[in-house]
Amino acid sequence: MLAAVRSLPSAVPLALPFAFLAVFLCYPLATIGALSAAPSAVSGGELVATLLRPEAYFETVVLSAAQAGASTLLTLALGLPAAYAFARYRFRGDRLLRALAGVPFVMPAVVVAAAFAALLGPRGLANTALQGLLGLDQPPIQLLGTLPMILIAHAFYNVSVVIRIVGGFWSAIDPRLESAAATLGASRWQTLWRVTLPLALPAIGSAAALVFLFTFGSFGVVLLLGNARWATLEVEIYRQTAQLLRLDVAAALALIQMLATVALGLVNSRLQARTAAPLAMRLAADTRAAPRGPGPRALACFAAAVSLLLCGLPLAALVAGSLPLDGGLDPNSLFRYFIALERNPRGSAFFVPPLEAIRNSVTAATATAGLALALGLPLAVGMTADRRRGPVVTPALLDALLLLPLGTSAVTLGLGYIVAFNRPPLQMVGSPWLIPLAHTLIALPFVVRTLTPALRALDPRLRQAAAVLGSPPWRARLEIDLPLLAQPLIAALAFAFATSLCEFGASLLISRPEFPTVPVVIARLLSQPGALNYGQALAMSSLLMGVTAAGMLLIDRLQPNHEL
Amino acid sequence: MLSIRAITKDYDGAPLLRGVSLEAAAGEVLCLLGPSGCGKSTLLRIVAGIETQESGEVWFDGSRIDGTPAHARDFGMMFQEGALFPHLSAADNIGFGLRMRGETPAMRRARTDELLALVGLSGFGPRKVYTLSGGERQRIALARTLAPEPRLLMLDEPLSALDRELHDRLLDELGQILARAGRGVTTLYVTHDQQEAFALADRIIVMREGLVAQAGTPDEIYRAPASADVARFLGFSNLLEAKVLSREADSIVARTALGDVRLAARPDLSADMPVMLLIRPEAARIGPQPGGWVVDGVVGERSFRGAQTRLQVTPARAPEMTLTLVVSGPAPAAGQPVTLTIAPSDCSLIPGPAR
Repeated sequence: MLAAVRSLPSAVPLALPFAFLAVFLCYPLATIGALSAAPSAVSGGELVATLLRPEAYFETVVLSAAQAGASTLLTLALGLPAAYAFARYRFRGDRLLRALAGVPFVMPAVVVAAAFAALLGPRGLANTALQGLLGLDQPPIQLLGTLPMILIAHAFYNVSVVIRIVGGFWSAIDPRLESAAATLGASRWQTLWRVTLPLALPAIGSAAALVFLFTFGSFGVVLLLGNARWATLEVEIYRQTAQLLRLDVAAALALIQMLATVALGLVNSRLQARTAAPLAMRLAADTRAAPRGPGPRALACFAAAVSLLLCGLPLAALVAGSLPLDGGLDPNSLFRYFIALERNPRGSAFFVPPLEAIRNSVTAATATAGLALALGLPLAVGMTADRRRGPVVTPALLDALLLLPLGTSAVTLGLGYIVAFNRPPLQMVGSPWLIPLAHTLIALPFVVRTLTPALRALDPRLRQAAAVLGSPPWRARLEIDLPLLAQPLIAALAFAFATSLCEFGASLLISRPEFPTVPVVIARLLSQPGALNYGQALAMSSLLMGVTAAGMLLIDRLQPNHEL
Repeated sequence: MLSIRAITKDYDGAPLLRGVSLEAAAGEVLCLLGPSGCGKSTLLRIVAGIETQESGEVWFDGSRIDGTPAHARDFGMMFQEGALFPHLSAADNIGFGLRMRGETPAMRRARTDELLALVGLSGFGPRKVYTLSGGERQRIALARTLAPEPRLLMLDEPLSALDRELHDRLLDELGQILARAGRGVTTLYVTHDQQEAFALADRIIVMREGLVAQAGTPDEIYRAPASADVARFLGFSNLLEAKVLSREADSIVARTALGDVRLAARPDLSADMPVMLLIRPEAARIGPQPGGWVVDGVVGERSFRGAQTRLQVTPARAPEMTLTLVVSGPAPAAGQPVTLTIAPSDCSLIPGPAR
């Protein structure tokens, strides 16, 4: 009885996030499910019947998995040597190069697509350079819409996942283990095969699972750079709904995608739990050494090449493409794509000045950040609540609940919003709140995951010490907990803000033509012909890249430094 | 002053405190001594108001305080490993309790400086606490506890996280600081280290498995452990099964595997009672001495410690037994026969069987 009364206060703050998840995640998904289960003019077929006809989606699933597998292998092949070099060797510019390799991961998918269009597209840097050099009429590199283009872009996007996870693991492991293997008679290759790689196997597995997950569910990159043959499930869901109006096939694909994502997510968290164990031998000191001998030097050069050519070059091409040099250094010519962002040259009715899109995006991102924090903080507190106080909801259940929005395809979510909120009881289509609501749902798992470790790390004895020193509970929360949580709270806010700024799949469906967000406008500009549209797309992508990079730099600066 | 009455507390369904009662007089330094897991820290946290007992009462200065929240008790508690606020400077940590009480900044500054001087860290005020060494952190934590002049001072294993050398140095200083700043303040000191308890306590409460096993002055507890269990926890290993042979007006004779020994009278023991004989390590001298209790044996391990030598001796009459003894002066080498004389005044009888 007493326990039940005590646990009541911890249940009240959870009511709001639960209600939110029920209304803005479960309700739209259920609506889609119900709609596609009954054959009608809207759905075009029956969900169950479609699920029983695997030929409707079998090819997409297999090709999607094949693409993701190939992307993962390429990313590992490029990332593992670089990860090892960054973890073990000290060389000129290593910090800068490592930071550069991390930039693509935080870029919005449309920016990545724009960057590769700027580098390898028909109008791209490589083609114009080669055409000029060789005097060709046609662009020699024809990669747009091919599998290699998707694979390269995915490797660009995800190589930092491998560097961060596996490299972080390697740098935490005592290099003397390798020296010990050498003194026991192992050659360099034997050491690699018997010690270095096996030690990192859980980390490699975890990184591979994540990369596979990201590339399997990739949307913006594949939609803008690929073609129908190499569509991912997410792109196919979009095509089926927006172009073919086959809701049943889309729902079937969304279901498969959710199952696959949750399964992979579970595999990944298993692997990460195993990775966490040996980190007890973490070394405080920097264990890197100068690369000596041809092997280590080659590795260091490879790492530098991955950073500069794979990660740096497309981003540089993006900026270069947005600043045309054909008019010399005259600012009016150099910055003409940026200047054109606020004009409507053709007086089109549907045209939205890109600067207004930036305002839309920033407004939505601000609302998302506030909402995600207001809902995520109670969830995180609920997940880390003292077990002996008997929380109403077990952390395991909350954890599972949070996997749900992570596994939901953004396109499906957007579709669900359009269908579910276009009729009573919730008539919301056209409301400017719909985008921040969808973005909050997508950002929520990340916000909770940023806050829970910080909340777990809060030493309860600090609050107790404050109490004994005469501080009432509310004051201890204010004076002890809040300052200690300030950094993760700001990081969570920035994460939610960035997620909203970069989100593409759901926005593409939800945003009204006259009220688009930046990624939607970039995609629209990229898909339209003409040098000006192309230049404007690059200019806008450059702006978005700058904002995202600045935000991530801020988060990086805010890493906690309390070492007590 | 402080009165703890029949406190019980469960932890994960198992009893941790099983009815602990104790009293502390005004100004007394009371040590709760026991192995980890005996519930002594939990008892301290109940007195502080951080944890709630299942049953029992806590009284202070004539009023029952169980219902008073921790922040309104005006007690001071120094936590294991300090629990300093990592986002505050050393001075702000020390001044925290004063600020909660609404003292003026000028008063806080003066008191903080005073305490920094007291713990020997003048000038450390502006330092961030994570730049301090382990010993410095413990001193700041002590200063933070003392600053608001608490009505009751509680210290929970304040020296346990320190290395041996720092531990010994801070133990001396802690005694001096408590004598100066905590004069007249009732103090509860929790430790598992008997050396700390013997050095600081006016009275020691030995706790075992959620119960008070013995209460007494350090000397009483050292000279006459209440049970074999307490004796073993205090580090005594020479415990012999014995039987009271005869009881006279001024002496008592006990029979052990090493022969009979005549000890000072114990009115609480009667003939034929099973008892344990404790031989403290300093009880033995090398060589036979007239009128003493002479034991022959063979030296097992021998370790030279400068002024003294530690010997493991296997007695000839009970080869299954090993006596651990500390002798001064020249000692025979390992494997050599030895004749010892044991002083009955350094032996005690402990009632009850071995358990």
